[in-house]
Amino acid sequence: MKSTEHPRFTLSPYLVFVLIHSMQFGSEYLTAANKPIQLAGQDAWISVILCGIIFHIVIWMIYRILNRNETDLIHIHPLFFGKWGGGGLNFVFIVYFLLVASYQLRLFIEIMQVWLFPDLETWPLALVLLVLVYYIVAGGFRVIAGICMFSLVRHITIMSLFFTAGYFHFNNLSPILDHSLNDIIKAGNELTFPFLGVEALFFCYTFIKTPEKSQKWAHLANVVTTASYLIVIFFSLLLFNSEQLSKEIWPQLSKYKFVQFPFIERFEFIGAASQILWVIPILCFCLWASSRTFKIMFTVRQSTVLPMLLFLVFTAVCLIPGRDRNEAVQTLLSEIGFYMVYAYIPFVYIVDIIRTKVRRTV
Amino acid sequence: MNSVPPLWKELSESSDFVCYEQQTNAAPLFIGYFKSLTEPKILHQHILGRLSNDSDISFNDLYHSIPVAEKEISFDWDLIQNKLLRGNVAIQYGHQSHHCILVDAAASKGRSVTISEVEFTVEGPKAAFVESLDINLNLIRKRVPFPELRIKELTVGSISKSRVAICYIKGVTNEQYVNTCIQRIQDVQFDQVTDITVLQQMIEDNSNSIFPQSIGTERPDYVAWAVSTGQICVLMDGSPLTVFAPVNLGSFFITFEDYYLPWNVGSILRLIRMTSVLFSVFASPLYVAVMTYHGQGISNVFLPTIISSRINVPFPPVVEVLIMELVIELLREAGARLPTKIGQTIGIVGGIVLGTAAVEAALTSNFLLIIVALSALASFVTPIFRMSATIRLLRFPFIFAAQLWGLLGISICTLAVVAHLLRLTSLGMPYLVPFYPFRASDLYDTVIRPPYSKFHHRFSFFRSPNPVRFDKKNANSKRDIDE
Repeated sequence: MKSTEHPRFTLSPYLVFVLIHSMQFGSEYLTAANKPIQLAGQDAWISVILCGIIFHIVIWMIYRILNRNETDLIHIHPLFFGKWGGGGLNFVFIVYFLLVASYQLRLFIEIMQVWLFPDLETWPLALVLLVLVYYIVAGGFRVIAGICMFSLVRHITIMSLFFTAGYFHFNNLSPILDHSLNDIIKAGNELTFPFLGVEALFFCYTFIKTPEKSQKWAHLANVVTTASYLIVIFFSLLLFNSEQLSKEIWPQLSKYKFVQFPFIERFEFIGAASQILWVIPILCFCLWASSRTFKIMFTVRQSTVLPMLLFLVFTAVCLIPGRDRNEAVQTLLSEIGFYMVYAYIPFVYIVDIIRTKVRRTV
Repeated sequence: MNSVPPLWKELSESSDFVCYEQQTNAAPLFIGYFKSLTEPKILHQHILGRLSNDSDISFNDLYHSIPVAEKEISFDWDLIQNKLLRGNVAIQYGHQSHHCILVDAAASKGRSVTISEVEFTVEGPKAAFVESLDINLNLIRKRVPFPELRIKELTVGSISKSRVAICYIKGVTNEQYVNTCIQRIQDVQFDQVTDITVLQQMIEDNSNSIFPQSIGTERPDYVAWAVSTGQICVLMDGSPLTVFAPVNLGSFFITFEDYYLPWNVGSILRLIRMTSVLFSVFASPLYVAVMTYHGQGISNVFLPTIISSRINVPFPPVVEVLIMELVIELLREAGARLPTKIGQTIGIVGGIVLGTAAVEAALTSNFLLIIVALSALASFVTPIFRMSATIRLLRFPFIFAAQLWGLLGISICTLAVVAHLLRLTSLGMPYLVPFYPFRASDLYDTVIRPPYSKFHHRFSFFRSPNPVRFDKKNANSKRDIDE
């Protein structure tokens, strides 16, 4: 079975790098350093590398599944699990993507409410951002990839942390390998959620010009994501000790307070406003993927489904009242993500191997 | 006038249509032309003069005896009518036959080639296009004496019947772009297409966008360059502007003078131009955002300067900015509508007097005055007029967004503009190429203007069938020290 899109809509393989990196390196980077450092202390960087390696294996599995079937997950599901089973799984993914979108949007609005505008209501900002998302998604997959590419500008704000070098405490890094393997693995477990995003490959596969050649770019994206998280973790370790860190909700934003320029006193304003570059690509992709799954499952026009899904996200965002609830959504999502990466993807991989074996013997 | 052929009667309702019968020995001749469109010298010396001398001449002999190259025989009334309206003289031989000899005697009245005033250059050639299509085509042909240069002529507008010419080099320009362009021009449904800027709006990919998707220039050298890189240019009779497409966003910030300066000087000037565009869009919105919401964001060194200049101003920053932006736009608009000399005076007097008075009356702060004046100045460095208008207007949504949500508003607005630019195309070519889709090999002539040895291939996004401009290997001879 082969289903690729019209060549006019396909993308060059290198854009897989941009896309996967944008999906992986989302707003979670603000909190990513917290829990691993609580668990593994100065050895948290080992967990990051560990997690990165696991995700390389996951990407490899995803490509094996996709290359063998030469289509995306939306079409693979009914193929493997029948019309109803496959449809159900597709529906689970729609819900998953909508949840991710709601969580990311609510988190972003929360950051804005805490750091920039304490009096800001949730709904007007959500409305404006979702209209923007509609405009981008309506432009098609190429435009989404373009927004992901533009969002790479955000790395400038992370690099600005090198200006804080004067405050580094290199003593915080030693002694190395002070924690048990168990702690390190637990910390790596906490990092699964920040690393999520590779599942995007399942949905954009048919939109890549030569999908087989794009694998190296996906791996490169994972390498860059790992490196980015390493930088984030190292900055956290160098600038805070673990007691301080346990009191911070978004240590990354606090770190921007250390950055000083001759005429900008509070860099964290820029840091907070640039958060939009972390959120919009993920929102766009999630809504694109869910509306596309909808389109293929129920044979409706994507442009009619999209506003409905946006409305769903809008209501969900308005219904999540504050920090506690959003934390609950995050816990839920990280659990779903955990099972997806460590159980579901290997499961599909094994089913795929068995299917091809059975076919060959028959 | 009873003997006038019936079809001519309708035309003769216009007082400038001359129509009469001339008796000869063989058969009567009917002669018709528009007085207002013909050149009397050609008419009397070469056409009418011959008719009266040879009085018993046959139809064919008459046709051959007229010493004008552009003549033909036709019996198609629509063609005859069109030709008459383009300054031809129609000669009908006898009552019965509908055959007419059509002789071109069009008067070409219009200004001659002058110095370019909109896109002025210090060192480059100064000739600019004029309103006559034939002169303009001559200017292009002279610069591109290449047999593959193709010129296709079309007519647009049911009333204006404007002559439109499409120029491209066959084998260099992608045929798909040519076909799209011709198709779009043929699909235009409009009666009076007065100028190429009207046509430009009708054939662009997204006519609701404030960003132009084709470049209009008055410089023949620029057009010759564009044609040689694989772009198509469109000219129209009666319009001193030549439009070419497909274009990307970057090409709007290139003046052709960059190519006449040494590459490093040209590059620096181009960089200054591009930064000034960013400054022009973001400066006053940032002022609003910082003054309204993020006052603590400014460093202590800088803060006293701003506060002391703003201390007497009673308005919130956004009103202050809007007043000043409006004043600048007014001065600009007034300067553009008035005759040159008065316009200059108004500009200087208005600028200095209004500026100083506004600060003294505490309507605005010194600091803002500088920002607004600088950003207005910066918006004028954009060489293409339509783009410079876009840049001027683009800052207003940013100002409102900054008033609404400060820096967050500016970043949302930026993303919206980027999303819009990502969706735009020019003749189907992505607007942000070569940055998105990313083409590393095409980055050479974007932000900097490299030396000419780097121009060895055409931009791949023009999809030229012949991408090589010259052989790179032969050009770069290997040289060593002291050789």
